[in-house]
Amino acid sequence: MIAFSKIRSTFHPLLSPGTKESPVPPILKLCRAYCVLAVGAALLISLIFYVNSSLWEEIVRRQSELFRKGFSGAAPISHLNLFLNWLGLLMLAGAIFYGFKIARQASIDARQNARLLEEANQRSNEIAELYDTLQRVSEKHELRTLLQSILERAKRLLSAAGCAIFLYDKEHDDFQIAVEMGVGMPIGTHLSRTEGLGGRVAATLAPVIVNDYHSFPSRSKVLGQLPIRAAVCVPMIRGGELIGVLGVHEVGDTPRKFTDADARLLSLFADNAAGAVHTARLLDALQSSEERFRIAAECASDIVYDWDLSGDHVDYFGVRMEVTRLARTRSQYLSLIHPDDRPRVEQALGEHLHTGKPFSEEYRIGDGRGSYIAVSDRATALRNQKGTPIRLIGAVSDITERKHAEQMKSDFVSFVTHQLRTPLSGIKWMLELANDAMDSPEERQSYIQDARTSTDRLINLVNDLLNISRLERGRLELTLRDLDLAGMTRDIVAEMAPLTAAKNLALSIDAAADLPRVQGDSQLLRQAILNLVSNAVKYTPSGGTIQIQIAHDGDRVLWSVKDTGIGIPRDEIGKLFGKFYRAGNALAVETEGTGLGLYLVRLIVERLGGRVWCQSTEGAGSKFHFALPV
Amino acid sequence: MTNARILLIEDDKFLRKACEVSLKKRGLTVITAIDGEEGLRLAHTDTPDLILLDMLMPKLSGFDTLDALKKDEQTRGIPVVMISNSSVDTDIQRAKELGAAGYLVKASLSLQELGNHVFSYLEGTAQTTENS
Repeated sequence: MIAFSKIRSTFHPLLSPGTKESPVPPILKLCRAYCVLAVGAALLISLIFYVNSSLWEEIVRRQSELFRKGFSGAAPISHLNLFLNWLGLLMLAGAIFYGFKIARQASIDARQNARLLEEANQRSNEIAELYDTLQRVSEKHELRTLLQSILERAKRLLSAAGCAIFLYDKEHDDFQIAVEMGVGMPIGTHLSRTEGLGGRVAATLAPVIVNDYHSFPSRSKVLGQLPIRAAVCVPMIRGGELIGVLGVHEVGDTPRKFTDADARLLSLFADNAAGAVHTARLLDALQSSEERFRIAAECASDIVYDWDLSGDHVDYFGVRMEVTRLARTRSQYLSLIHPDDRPRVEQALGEHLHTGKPFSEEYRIGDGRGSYIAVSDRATALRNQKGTPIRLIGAVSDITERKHAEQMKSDFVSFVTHQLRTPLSGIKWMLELANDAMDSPEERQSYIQDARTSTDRLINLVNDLLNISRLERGRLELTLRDLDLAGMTRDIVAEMAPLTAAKNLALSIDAAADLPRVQGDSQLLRQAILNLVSNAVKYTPSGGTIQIQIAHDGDRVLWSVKDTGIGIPRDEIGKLFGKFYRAGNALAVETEGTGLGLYLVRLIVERLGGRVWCQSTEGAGSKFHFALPV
Repeated sequence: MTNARILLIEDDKFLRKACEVSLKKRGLTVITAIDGEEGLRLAHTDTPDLILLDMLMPKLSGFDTLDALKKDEQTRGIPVVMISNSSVDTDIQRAKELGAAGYLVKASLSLQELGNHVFSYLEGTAQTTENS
C-alpha cells in the first residue's frame, strides 16, 4: 500500500490535470510526452524480448560467456566490450531514471511558475486597481461619500463579500461604525476601543487576520452575532495617530482565507485612505464649527465683528443689525456711533489696544433711519508674537430692551421714594407742630388729624404697591368665595357718603334683582370697586351725577359706573389702565394721585377672569365697566 | 430780617401747611403757591426775599420753574432753595447748575432745622448746597 501511494505521489505532479486558475504549463506536456515515450519504449523492448524469448536467452548467454571468458583470460577487447556494454546499460537505465526525475521536477516547477506568474499578474492588477482607487478617493472631500467610496473600493480590491470602516473618536476614546456593507452592522453604534477585532488592531496598530471569526475569543457583543466567517482588519493611521479601522470580511460558509498578502494590500490602501479621511474629517469639523459659531453669534449677541486692524476692513457674523450693512470699514463703523459717546468709546478702544485693559462699553449707534439704538460692545484684540494688536474681535448686543427696563426700574424707585417720603415728611412735621402747640388743644388736634390722614394715605399706598407687586408676579393667594356684588357696592357707597355729600353729588345704584353670585376674592374686588367709585367722586365736580349699574348678561355679570366728570382725552383712554399713568387733566384736579388705582383695578379684574374697559368724552364724563364670569 | 417774605411753592397740602405754619411762627411772612405757574406769577407780583421750591410737581416741574425764575430779569436775583425728597446726586447737581442757592431734603429735616436754614440763607451765610 505504501509503495503504491509512493508511486502515486511520484507521478502525481506529472499526471494531475490542470485547474482553471493554474492551467497545465506547456513544459508539463513535454514531460508527459517524455514519460509516455520512455515507458512505451521499455514496454516495447520487453515485448520484443517476450516475443523473441530466444533473443533474450541469446543476449544473456553471450553476455555471460563474455563475462566468463573475460575473467578467464580471453581477449582484452572482450573485457572492454563487456564493461562498455554493462556501463551502457547502466547509463541507459540511469538516464531513464533521471529522465523521470527531471520530468517530475520540471512539472513541479512548471506548476509553481505558472502559479507564481498568476499571482504576480493578480498583484499587478491589484496595484493598478489600488492606484486608481486612491486617485478617485482623494478627489472626494465630503466625509460620507469618501467613506462610502473607500468601502466599495476595499471590498473590490480583495474581492470580498463585505467591508466596514470604524472611525476612532478621540474624545470618547471609542470607535463608531461609520459605514459598512455586506453584513448589516448597525451603523452609528459605538464600540469600545478594547473589544473585538477593532480592539486588537487598535492595540497592536498592525493588521489582524482572523479566518475563523466564530472561534475568535474577544468578539464584540455587537458584531459577534453576525455571519462573518473570516475577516482582515487594518489600522488607518495618519501622522502616527489612529484614525480608524478598515475591515474586509467574508460571510457564510465560504472557504476563502485571507492571507498576509491581502493584509499588506489592504494596509497600503488604508494608509493612503487615512489621509483622505483625516482631511475630510477636518473639513467636516470646520464646517460644523463654523455653523455652530454662526448660530451662537446669532443667539448670544446680535453681531460679532472681526476687524483687521492693519487695514480698515471689518467682517461680521450673525448679521442682524443695520450697522453691518452700513459700515464696511472700521472708520465707517466709528462714525455711526453717537457723537456724545464716540470720544469715550474711542478712548476705551485705544486703551485696550495699548494696555490690554478690557474693553466693554455701552453706547448708542445709528440705525440708518435717523435714530439710535443702545448697544453693549465687548471686544478683545488678537495680538501677534510681539504683542502688537492685529485684529479686534468683538460682540455687540442690542440692549435697548434692557436699558428701557433699567429706566423703568429707576423711574419706579424715584416714584416710590417720592410717594413714600412725602406723606412721611408730612406726618413728621405735623407731629412736630402738634408738639410745639402744647398750649392750644384745637390747633394740636388739627395737626394730629392731618398726621393721621397722611398716615392713612401712606398705608394705602403701601398696600396698593404690595398688592400690585403680588398680582404682577402671580403670587397673590386668592380666597375665593361667592360674592354679592350689589351688596359690596352698596357698602362702599355708604362709606363714601360724607365725601359725596360734601361735593353734593347724586349717587345711585341700579342692581338687577336676581344677580348671580360671582366667584372672587372679597378683599381684592372690594378694592377694585372702591377705586372706581372714588375716582368717579374725585373727578366729578360739585353737583354732578354718578350712576352705578349692575346687570346679568349670559355667563357674565356687568358692573359699570357712569359719571359727569372731567372725562378723559381720547388719546389717553388706551393708556389709562397703565402703571403710574395719570391723564393730563386728572393732574390738574388732584396732584396726589399715584396712577396706580386703575392699574390695580385692571390687575384684580383680570386675575378674577374678567375684563375692564372705559368709555369717555372729555369734559362730559366717563363710564367705567368691568365684567366677571359667573 | 424777621419781616422777610418767603414764597413757598409746594404741591402737597400737608407739607405746605406745615411749612407755612412753622415759618410764620418764626415771624416770617409766607406766601404759598401750589404749582410752578402760580409760583412764577407770585414771584413777579409779590417780590419775595427767598423762594422755597419743591422739586416734583405736576405741570411745570421744579427744575423748569427754577430755570424760568433764573432766566427772568425780575426774579433772577431772588435766592431759590430747592426742597425735595430726592437725594440723588444728579438732581443736586442739576439744581446747582440751574442756579439754585441751596438744596434741602425734606425727609431728613425737622421744621425747626428747615427754619434755621431759611434764616441762614436770608443772612447769606449758608453754603450753596446743603443737606443738614
